[in-house]
Amino acid sequence: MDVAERPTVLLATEGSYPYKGGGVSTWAQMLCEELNGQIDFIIFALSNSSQDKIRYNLPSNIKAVYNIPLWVTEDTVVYYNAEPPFSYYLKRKLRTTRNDIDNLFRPIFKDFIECLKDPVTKSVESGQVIYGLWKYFQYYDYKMTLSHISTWDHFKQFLFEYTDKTITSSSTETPHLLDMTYGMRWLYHFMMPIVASIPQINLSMSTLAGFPVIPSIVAKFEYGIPYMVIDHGVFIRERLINISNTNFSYSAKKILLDMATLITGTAYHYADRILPVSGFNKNWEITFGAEANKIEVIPNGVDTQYFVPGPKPKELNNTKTVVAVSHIFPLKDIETMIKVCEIVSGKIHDVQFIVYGSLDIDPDYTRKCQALIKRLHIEENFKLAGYHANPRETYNEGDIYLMTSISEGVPYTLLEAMSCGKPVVATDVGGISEILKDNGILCKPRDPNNIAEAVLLLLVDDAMRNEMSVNSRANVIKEFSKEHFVQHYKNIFQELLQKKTQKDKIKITLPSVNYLLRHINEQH
Amino acid sequence: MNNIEFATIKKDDSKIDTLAQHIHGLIGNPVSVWAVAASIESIGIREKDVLQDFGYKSLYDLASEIYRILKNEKYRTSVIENNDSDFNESVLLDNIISFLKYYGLGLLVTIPLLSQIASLFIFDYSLWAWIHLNKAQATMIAIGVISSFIITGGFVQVIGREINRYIGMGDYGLAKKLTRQILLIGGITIICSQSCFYFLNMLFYFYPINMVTLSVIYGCLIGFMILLSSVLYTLEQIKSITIAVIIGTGLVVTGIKLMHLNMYIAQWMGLGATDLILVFYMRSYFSKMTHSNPKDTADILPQIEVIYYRNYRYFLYGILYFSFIFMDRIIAWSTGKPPTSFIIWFNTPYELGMDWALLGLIATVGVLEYDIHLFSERIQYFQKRATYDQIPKFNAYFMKLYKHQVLILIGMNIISVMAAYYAIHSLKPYGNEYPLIKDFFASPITSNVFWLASLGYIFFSIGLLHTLYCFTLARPGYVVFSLLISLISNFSIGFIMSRLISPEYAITGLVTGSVVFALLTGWYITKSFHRMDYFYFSAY
Repeated sequence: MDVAERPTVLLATEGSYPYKGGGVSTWAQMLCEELNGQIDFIIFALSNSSQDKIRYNLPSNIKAVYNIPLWVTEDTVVYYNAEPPFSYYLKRKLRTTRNDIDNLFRPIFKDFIECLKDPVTKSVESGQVIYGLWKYFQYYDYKMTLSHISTWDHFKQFLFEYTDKTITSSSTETPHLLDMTYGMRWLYHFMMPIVASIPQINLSMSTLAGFPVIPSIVAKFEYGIPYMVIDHGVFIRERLINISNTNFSYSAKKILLDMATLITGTAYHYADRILPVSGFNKNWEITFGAEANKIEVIPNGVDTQYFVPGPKPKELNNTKTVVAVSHIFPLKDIETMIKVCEIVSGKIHDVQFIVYGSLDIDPDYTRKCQALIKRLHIEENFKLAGYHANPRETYNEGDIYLMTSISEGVPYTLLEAMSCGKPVVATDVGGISEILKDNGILCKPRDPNNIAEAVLLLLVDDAMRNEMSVNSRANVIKEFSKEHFVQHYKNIFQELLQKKTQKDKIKITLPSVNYLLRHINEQH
Repeated sequence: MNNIEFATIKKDDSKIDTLAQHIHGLIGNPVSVWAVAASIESIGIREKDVLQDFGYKSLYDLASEIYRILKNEKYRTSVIENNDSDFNESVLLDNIISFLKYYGLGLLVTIPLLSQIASLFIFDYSLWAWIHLNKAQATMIAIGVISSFIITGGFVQVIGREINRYIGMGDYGLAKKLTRQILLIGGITIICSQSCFYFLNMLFYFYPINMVTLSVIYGCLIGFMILLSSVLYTLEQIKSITIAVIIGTGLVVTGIKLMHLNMYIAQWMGLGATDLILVFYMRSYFSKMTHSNPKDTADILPQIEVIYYRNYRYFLYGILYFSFIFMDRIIAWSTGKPPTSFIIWFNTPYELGMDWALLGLIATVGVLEYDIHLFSERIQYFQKRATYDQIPKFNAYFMKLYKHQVLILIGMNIISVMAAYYAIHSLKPYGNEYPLIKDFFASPITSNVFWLASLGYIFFSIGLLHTLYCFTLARPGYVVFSLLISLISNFSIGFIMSRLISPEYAITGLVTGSVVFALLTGWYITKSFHRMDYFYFSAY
């Protein structure tokens, strides 16, 4: 395809590609590589730091990478491409007056606050607000505006109105000044993508229904560009878990979760397609505003030419071996795996359980697991082998593959193991049942007896194991191959590229945004 | 399953209570039912398990019940009781130990300077001073010293900020990279500035060439020393600076006493050695820290315009600060009857008075260290304690704290001034025995300048306290503006008074400028502290 004909897709990520490894990054790299020569990509990567290093050999169809470090305190724009130079942004600073903040920004901010008060039902207005804010920040300075005293006073007023006045001052739910300070600063950081100008694109996609979706929403309003949300996990579900588990105050958690709920609902509302990697995510998506008819499951795919069955290492030939590839942290529930090993080793005395995965993710949990191994006297049977750079070798060490996670999406390691022809015993969480179907044994999480029974069955019954081995690989080739996955996306891209969209900005109903647009048309 | 079948499945209250306790342990007071639902899922309880295991139709129903339980009084325990008396606690000097600790830390930075004073007393000379300098020598060395402080003043500020920025991120590699760049630009600026003075002098003949050469060499060597010391000071390596200075001074002594070198050569040798040792310490520190804190990062500095933009106000502050400190001297040394031999000519009694007053100012550095520590600690503490309806009390508290801190500062200043006065004055009876002491008290100008300078420094230290607040709250712009106005006042009043009355009345410029500085910054601080809630939030 000629360069001139090739469509350009904006791919927005957060905390992943191309700066960190993991499932989302694997997915993104595969998609970009496989579509090289057909689709060009521009990566919008929301990251932690301006110093993140690109971890991948980027294919030539990635035309630009914009790093948007969310947690720096200075102007984020300085970390974008060198064009335009910083002096361009200085003009915005000089242009931003109190008058502009009061007359143009504050009414839109007021509408934003109204959305935050009721994050579940305000998706329509929220999209308009995001567009209005983006438009404002193309001409006026972000930091000056958000750190202005009138913005702060307005936010304070919101928190005052937001608070249930029946709560006494000694209640844990009363907002404190620190909650307000954090709340406004978080807003500053999370909304940073709103400053970025939108490059020339034909299509947009976000790897989660969170803040990376902002450029997609803006592109839709400004240029009528269709966009899709790829739900690898479910952003809002993960935020509910992670934020609830923090030591933040009640108020601070509420502010954070309301922001997350608002952006999720808005992302789903305006998306043209919502593409979770498993059907498990669907319920959460619908609960938080996704229309069922927009949802289409596109599972992950693996390279079935690379992940192929291979012989076991000689030293393990006569030893029943169970392999797992998993970093050591609580969600993977290695403790249950250890208990399974204890039960299985009671019947197969020389069985080997080998877990490949980093021991440094959660050192306390790793120590807990090591202590449990020792307490159960199974040091000869259970090995925490550490990180292995070549997982293909690890899968082929085992007779079966084991996964005991208590929470999962659609793990690449499971697909890779199946592609290597390994029968699987896995807990029935997340999207695992959709991958496994009848080609493995599903178990209840946190039930070592149930899991051990399944492991023993497969280790002892050679015929069943061999049949599942063949079927596992066949299933992956049929439904979860890289080619299958890429073709699926190509179909969606083509469908959306042909879609005629009306530029959404004509549907703006908020007076504050319309006023800003009129002002900008007249003045600039 | 129909409703009858569902109704026959018993809800197990004890299991639900256990689950509620478990969820409470994970998330505390839940923000919403969905937070509970997500947490239940995260511990491996699936939609398909809730009916069999708990007797609920759906995960959401189970979560709703758990949410209801957790909102019960049993789980909604109070944390800290907030009451208004928190804001009434004493702020005058609430913690003697804390004061002594931070005062001591503040004084630590003066150790290298004190070593120079000690060296003067013991040997009659130090790295760049000598008791027996004649006026010509004193003038040229003073010009070198003053110009080196003013030229490097801005760079010192930028070094401090940028090193702290990157070390705060744990990135010693970038801190090292940027430090090198700033030192390079700073070093080139020193050399170019001193060269400009040299070549201007060739055009306008301010001083004989050999005198200017002296000044330029001292200016360069001292300038490098200031730059390098500022790096180590920011890295909290005061010991390294002290060792470098002591070794350098030791070389001066060795050069004079053992090698019989002339004073200039000995001092240049000492200064050069000090500079090299500081470089060695700096490189060793960064090498050690980059090895023990490896970071696999992109190692990219922002665009140079960005570095300029985020530092230019601090850079200006640095230049203005030293210009202000030395302005009165330049004015006093540029006039007199009979007229001075050259454009600026050293005025010994004036300088002695200023140095005497400086002893009092040095002693208050520790108080500033304590004040800003207390301010930072209190603001974080009360941010957590103050509820949304206690914001006016929060702001009022900091106004009270500020007033008390100013009182403490003034009190400590007065004590320091009196201590400095009596410490030096107590040497007067030994004048007959020691000609130097006799010479010190020979002119009444010395003590007149001492008193006026001390008064000026009291106000100046108040302005410095305000400056520290402004820097902590990321508001350097107003400080720069205030210091500029103060500098103009210093110059104007000092110039007029020194010409109208007598050269030593240049000190009234310092007093006036310091009062202006304290008042202008004080006005801004008062305005800020009334809205501390906002100013703290926006300090990022």
